[in-house]
Amino acid sequence: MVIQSVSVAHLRCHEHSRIDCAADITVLAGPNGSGKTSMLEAISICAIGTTFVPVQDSSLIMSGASACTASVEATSDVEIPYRVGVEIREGVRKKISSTHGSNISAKDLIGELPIVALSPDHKSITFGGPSDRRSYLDRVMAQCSRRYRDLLYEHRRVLKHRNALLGRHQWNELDVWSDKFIELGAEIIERRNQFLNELIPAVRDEYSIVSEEKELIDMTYQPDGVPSERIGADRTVLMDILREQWHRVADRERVRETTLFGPQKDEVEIVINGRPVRDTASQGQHKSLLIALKLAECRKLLEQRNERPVVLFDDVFSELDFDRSAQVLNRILHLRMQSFITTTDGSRLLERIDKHPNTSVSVYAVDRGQVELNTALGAEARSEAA
Amino acid sequence: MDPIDKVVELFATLPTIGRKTARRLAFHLLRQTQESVETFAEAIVHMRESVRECTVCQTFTDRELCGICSSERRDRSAICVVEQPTDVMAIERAGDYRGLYHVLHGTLSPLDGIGPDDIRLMELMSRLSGISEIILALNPNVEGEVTTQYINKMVSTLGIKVTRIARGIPIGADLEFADDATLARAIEGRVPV
Ligand SMILES: [Zn+2]
Repeated sequence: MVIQSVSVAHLRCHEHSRIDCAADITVLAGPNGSGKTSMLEAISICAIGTTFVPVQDSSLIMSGASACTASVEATSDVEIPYRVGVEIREGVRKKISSTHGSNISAKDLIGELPIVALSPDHKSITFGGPSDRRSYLDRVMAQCSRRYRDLLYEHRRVLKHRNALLGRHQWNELDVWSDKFIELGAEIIERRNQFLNELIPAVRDEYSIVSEEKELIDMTYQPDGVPSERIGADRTVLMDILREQWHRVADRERVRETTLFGPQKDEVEIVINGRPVRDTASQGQHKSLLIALKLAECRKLLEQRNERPVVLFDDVFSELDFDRSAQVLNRILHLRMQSFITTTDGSRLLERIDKHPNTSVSVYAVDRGQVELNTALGAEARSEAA
Repeated sequence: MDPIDKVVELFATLPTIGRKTARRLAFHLLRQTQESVETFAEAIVHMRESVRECTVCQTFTDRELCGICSSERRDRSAICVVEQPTDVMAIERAGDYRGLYHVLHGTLSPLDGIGPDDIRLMELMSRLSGISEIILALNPNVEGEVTTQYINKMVSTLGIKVTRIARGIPIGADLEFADDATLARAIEGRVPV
C-alpha cells in the first residue's frame, strides 16, 4: 500500500489537518506535544482500529469536541484505490467505513492496510515480560491472517464464557465449553509455532544487517504446559496435551474460579548467544534486536499479504546512532516501503536521508496542531537537485 | 415528560433504531390521522396479546399449535433446531425443508447468564419419540457451535441421527471474494463430486 493523504478532525490537538504523502518518506517535524505523533496515530486507527500504543478512546478526542475522525486515501500495490475513515465517539462503537463497505467491525478492518509501527513504547517487546512478546506475535499474525484474527477473537470469547461458568460454579456446562476452548487453543499453538519458525530466519537476517555484530539470535516458543519436544506435534496431539493439562488443574480451577491453562498464558523468549535477551543484552543489542523484529515483521507482512506495509517510526531516530538509523532507512527504502517519521530534529534526520538519492520526501512542520508543508526541505527542492 | 420525547425514547429502545430514526418515526406518526395511529397502536397491543409460543416447537403463533406443527403434510420424523422464530421463516422461504422445527430462543452464553435451563432444551428433549433425525441449524459463532455440541451430547445416546448444516461459500458469490475463514471451512467440509 501507498498512502496518498491522511486527514484528521478534532484528533487530540488537531482541529482539521491534512497531509499529502510522499511515495517514500514523509517527515513530520516539530517539538514535543505539537501533534506530530497524532498523524501517525490516525494512520494506525485507519489500519488496525486502534493506536499503535493503546490509549483510551476518550483521550483521542479534542477537548470540547464530541467526536474525532481520521481518514486515509491509499493505493494498493496492484493499483486499486483504497479509502478508509474512522469516527471515534466516546461510549459508542467506532464507526468505520471503507472502500469495502460501511459499518465495518474493527476486526474486519485489520490487515487491509498493513502497517508496522515502531515507537519508544515498543521497547517492552525485548525488555518486558512474556505477555509483551506474546502480544507482539499476536498483532503481527493478526495482520497476516484473517483466520488467526478470528481465532484470537473466538478464543478470548470462550475464555470469558468459561470464566463466567467457573465464577458461578456451573460445573455441568464446563465440559462442552472446555472442548471448544481446547480445540481453539490447539489451533492457536499450532499457528504460533508455525509462524515463529518462519519469522526467526528473517529476524536473524535483519539483525545481522542492522548490527554488524555476530551474535546468534533465537526465539523460542513456550506454550503453557506443552513439553518443548511436542510443540511441533499436530493439532490432535496438542488437543490431547491441553486436555491432560485441564485435568491436572481442574480442581484448582474450581477453587480459584478462573481458567488456569491455555495459550493466553504462552511465552515467547528471545535468546541472544544462548541467554535470554531480557537479562543479558546491552542497550545497543536491544535496539538492534527491536529494529530487526520490526523489519522482519515488514517482510512477513509483505510475503503473506502480497502487499507492502506502511511503516510508522514515532520518534525513534533520536535514540539511534547515525549508522543504525542510516541502516534502517536503507532497509526500508530497499524493501520499497513507504514510511512516516516523526522527529523533533528535522534537519538532523534529513542529513541521514540525504544519503539516499532518488528518494521522494515530503517534510511537514507541525506546531500546536497546525501542519505545514516545508517546501524548502521537501520533494520539490529535492527533485530539482536530482 | 414531553409526549414527543417519550415516544422518541421508546422507539429508540427498538433494535437497529437510533435516536435520529426514532425522531423521524415519531414525527411521521404526528402527521397521520388519529384513526390510523389508533389502528397501528391497537395492532401492536393485539399482536402482543394473541401471539404466544407454539406448545410444541416454541415458535411464535396465535394458536395453540403453529401452522407447521399442525400441518399434515410435514415429515414428522425430522426436527430442525434453530435459535429464533425468524430463522424458521428464513428456512421456510428457502422452501426445500419438509420436516418440523424447534426454536430454542437463544443459545448457551454463560457471559450473559444463559444456561441450558434458559433456552427451550427440555421442551426439545420431551418431543424426541418417533424422531429419526435432528438437524442443528444454529449460527456459526462460538455460542452456536458450543450449543450444537451440547445438544449433540444430550441426544447422541438416544440413537437419533444428529446432523448440522454445512458452512461454506454463499451461492452467487465469487470464490475470490470469500473470506479466509469461510473458505477454510468450505474446504474442510468438502464433499465427493
Ligand atoms: Zn409449532
